[in-house]
Amino acid sequence: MLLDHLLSLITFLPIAGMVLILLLPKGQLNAIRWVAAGASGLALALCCYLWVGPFDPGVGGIQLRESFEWIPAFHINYTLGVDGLSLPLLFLSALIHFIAVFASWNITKQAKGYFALLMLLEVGVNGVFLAMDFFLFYVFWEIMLLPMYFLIGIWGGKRREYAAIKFFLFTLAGSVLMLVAMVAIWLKSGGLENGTFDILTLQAMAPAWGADGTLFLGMKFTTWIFWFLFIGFAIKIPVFPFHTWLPDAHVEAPTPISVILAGILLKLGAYGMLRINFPLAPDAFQQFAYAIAVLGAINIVYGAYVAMGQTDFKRMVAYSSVSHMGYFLLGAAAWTFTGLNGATLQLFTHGTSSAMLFLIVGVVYDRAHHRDLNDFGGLGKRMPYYMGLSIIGMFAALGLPGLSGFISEAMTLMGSYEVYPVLVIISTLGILMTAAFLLYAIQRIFLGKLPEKYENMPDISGREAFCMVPFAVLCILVGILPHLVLDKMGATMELIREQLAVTIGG
Amino acid sequence: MPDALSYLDALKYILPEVAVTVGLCAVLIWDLLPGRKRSQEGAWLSLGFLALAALLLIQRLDWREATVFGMVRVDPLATVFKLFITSAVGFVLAFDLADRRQTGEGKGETYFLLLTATLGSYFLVGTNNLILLYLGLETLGLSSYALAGIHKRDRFGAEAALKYVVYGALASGILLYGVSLLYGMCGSFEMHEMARYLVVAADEGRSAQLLLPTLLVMVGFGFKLSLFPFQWWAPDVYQGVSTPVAAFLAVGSKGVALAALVRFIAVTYSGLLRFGEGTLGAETAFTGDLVLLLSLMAGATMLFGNLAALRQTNLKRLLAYSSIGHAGYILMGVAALTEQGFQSAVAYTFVYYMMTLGAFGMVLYFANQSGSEDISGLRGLGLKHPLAGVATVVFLAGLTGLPPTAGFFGKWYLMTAAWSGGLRWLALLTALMSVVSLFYYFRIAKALFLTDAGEAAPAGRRNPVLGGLLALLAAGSLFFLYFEPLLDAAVFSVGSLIRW
Repeated sequence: MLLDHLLSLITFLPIAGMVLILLLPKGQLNAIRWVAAGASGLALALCCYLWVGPFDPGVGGIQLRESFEWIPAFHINYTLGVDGLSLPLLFLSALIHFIAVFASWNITKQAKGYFALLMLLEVGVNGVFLAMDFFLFYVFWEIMLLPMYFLIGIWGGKRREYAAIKFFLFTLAGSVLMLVAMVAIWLKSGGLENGTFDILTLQAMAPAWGADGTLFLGMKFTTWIFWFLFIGFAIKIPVFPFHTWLPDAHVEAPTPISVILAGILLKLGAYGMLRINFPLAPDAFQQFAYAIAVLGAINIVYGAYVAMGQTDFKRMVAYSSVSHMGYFLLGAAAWTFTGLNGATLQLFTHGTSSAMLFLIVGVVYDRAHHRDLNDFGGLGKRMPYYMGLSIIGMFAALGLPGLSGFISEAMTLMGSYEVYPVLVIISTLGILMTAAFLLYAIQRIFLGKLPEKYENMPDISGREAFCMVPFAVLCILVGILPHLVLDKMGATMELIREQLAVTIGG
Repeated sequence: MPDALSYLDALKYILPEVAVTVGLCAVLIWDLLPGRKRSQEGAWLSLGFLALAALLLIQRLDWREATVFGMVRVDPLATVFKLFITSAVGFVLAFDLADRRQTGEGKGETYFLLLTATLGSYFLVGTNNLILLYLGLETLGLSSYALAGIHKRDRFGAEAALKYVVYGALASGILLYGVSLLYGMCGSFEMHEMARYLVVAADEGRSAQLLLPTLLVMVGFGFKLSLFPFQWWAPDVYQGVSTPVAAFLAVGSKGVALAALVRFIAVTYSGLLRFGEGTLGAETAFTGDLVLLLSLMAGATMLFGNLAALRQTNLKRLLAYSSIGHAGYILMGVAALTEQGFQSAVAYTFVYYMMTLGAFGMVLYFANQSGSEDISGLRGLGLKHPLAGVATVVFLAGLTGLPPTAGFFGKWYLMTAAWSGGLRWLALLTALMSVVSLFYYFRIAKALFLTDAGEAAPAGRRNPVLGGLLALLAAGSLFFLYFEPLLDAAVFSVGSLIRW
């Protein structure tokens, strides 16, 4: 019984939390927090159970499939499923939302609304990772927008209204392109008569569309849908030049929302590319893989370069995210076994390390009420525990061997070297620059002379440590034993790679 | 015409019309009776008769289609849209009641006029005869002009009414001219009789001869539906009239005009349309002209409505432009000239009905709180009135077309219908306009929730009746889990036109 609907439970448990929160009286702050923690914690527990229990890593395809008719007139089904691509990301989502509840503990302004929206957000994210019906995928994808808009817009910083609507407009612009592609794909698959939204069925049909050489306004059908989908997902990742919403959104969002944004929302775009974008237009992917790899290299180098120039700690971390997501693009565009594994692992490791970096920013911001890197110094002496945890997070982000970032970045670069040697060599510049800005940040925050005004700055509290330790543990664990995650992904990655029989770099 | 129907049987078919007629007489007489009356009593009386008419209509949903008294057509499209207008007027009356409780303003004649408009709408949607259609349109129009003028609060009201009358009279005159040309060519006012002649004319390649009357008739419909370039009156009128009346014009009047347009095009041109197998359909040069005409109008309407809405600060003006934009979306479905296209237009009209009524209800609710109909008057009110605030967000999301609201499904259906009808550029334009519309719709959400109220924020009494209505409409706008019935209603109502 539980197993039959495990995925639905993971998706919709937070809704139950949301309803409970809305029923609670406004003043019951603690009850509201604990209900949120309970609902997201339960979802996390179910994900852990899924990870160790029913999920079979030997199977590459979709597992634990649930499906029933939703809107039969349009052939829309409610179909959920999990495979090696979505499992690590689902786990990450559940973990990050659970931690975000605790990171939000000191939010008192309209707390009821805040936690209700947080729960709704988790429904959208978990749903995207599990939906195996394109229409359902789109619905979950859009459900995230409203809560995110309000979470940034009501609880954000000074320029929150600007950042919130900018985020909303950028993402919606991407979504409607995806919507248009979805309309076209559905009609191509048969429309009202026998069309389908089932992602696996569509993937099987896709090669035939590529063979159809009819041009529409000078481009093939698959080329059109490829770029429409690509831009839709690229805005979410975000890929240069669509990245400008990200720094604003990050800087204005409250800490827990930044954690969610960097930790998991950016991964949705990447997931969409692997699940929908590339498999539905394989010939266009083969044709434009090099362009995507170039975009990846630009992301890596440009993101790191801009991050070097930031004095706002949070802005710096935001640009580092842009840089790190470039590795995904590079590895995915190579479409080799190592490259794909590395790219997907990069999503997981960046999820843990960037979430940690934003928590680190949050700790110092809560105490100093500013984030100007040049105004800190010597905090290492006052806050040794904080420094220890920060250094784990930052070193994981800069790719120190033994920590998680190293494994995924190395795999990505190795996997794509055989296809794009020049781009990989250029991208290593990004590694250097990342090391430079993170080490320079460490120096400016923790080393040197302690300014007098920070004499009494307290070290991290138990709650803050509780938020950061799980990520630190994951950074170290995946750095030493990467196969814990890789084993779950391997079969699926192989299957995805083989199904999309494209050769890149020839 | 087949008619084995006895006089009494025929009368049974038009009992809803009779109910509304009796109702409007009763309301008028009640208002004239001596003695102190509270204006609310008239509203309750009207609601009672509307409920009776609705019950009769529901009963008639599964009756055999028939044409009674030679002119009145009773078929699913008619009955469904009669229910549509009945319930829309019901909501408008309820808004009006809730408004009066709060402000104590209002006139008794409003009810009489709303019922007259309902009666006119019944004839407008329920006929295949262009003369009766014109009479229905005029009955609806005349009562609407009076409704617009009744609220003499300020100069805007008078200006609005005058503008509406002048434009409206001109438009219906042009429509009548188009009808007379069609009559001259075909020798009949019956749409399906005309259809036979038009097929012949189109086959002979007399496209221009067909296009002129079509254009003239589209002026009349374009005015009612506020399609570009006949939309200029809408913003001024919506702003000038009371909010319930504006809601009636935006939802009720537009909805029935759309139904009449669908019927006019689907029946009169039935020989020329691209329906599926088993229909008269034959594509001619004229079909292409008609598609071009309608799709250009649709595209221009959605562009104009959405772009002009960007800079509005008055809520009702903003909603007026937004309703122009939505008329463009709806017309896109009609423009495809396919069965699916008509269905999508009808389905979207149902969705539009809930969202737009809700949006006007929201204006009424918050204007009562802040005393202002400007966006700036909403500052911080969403946090003070969470129920109405959240309902508003649902309406805005629906109007923007975000899932999981019905607005998204409606738009999705329109886009697929347009795409498969070959109007890809319109589908793409709709998608882009949704992004543009997000910007102005969410200025409302921003004012409600994101902006701090400041010290000047009024405390304001809650208005539970209106709050309840908003919640009801919001629940309706979240139709996503059971979009199927809505779709069935659209398929059901369009089906009879195509397979008559």
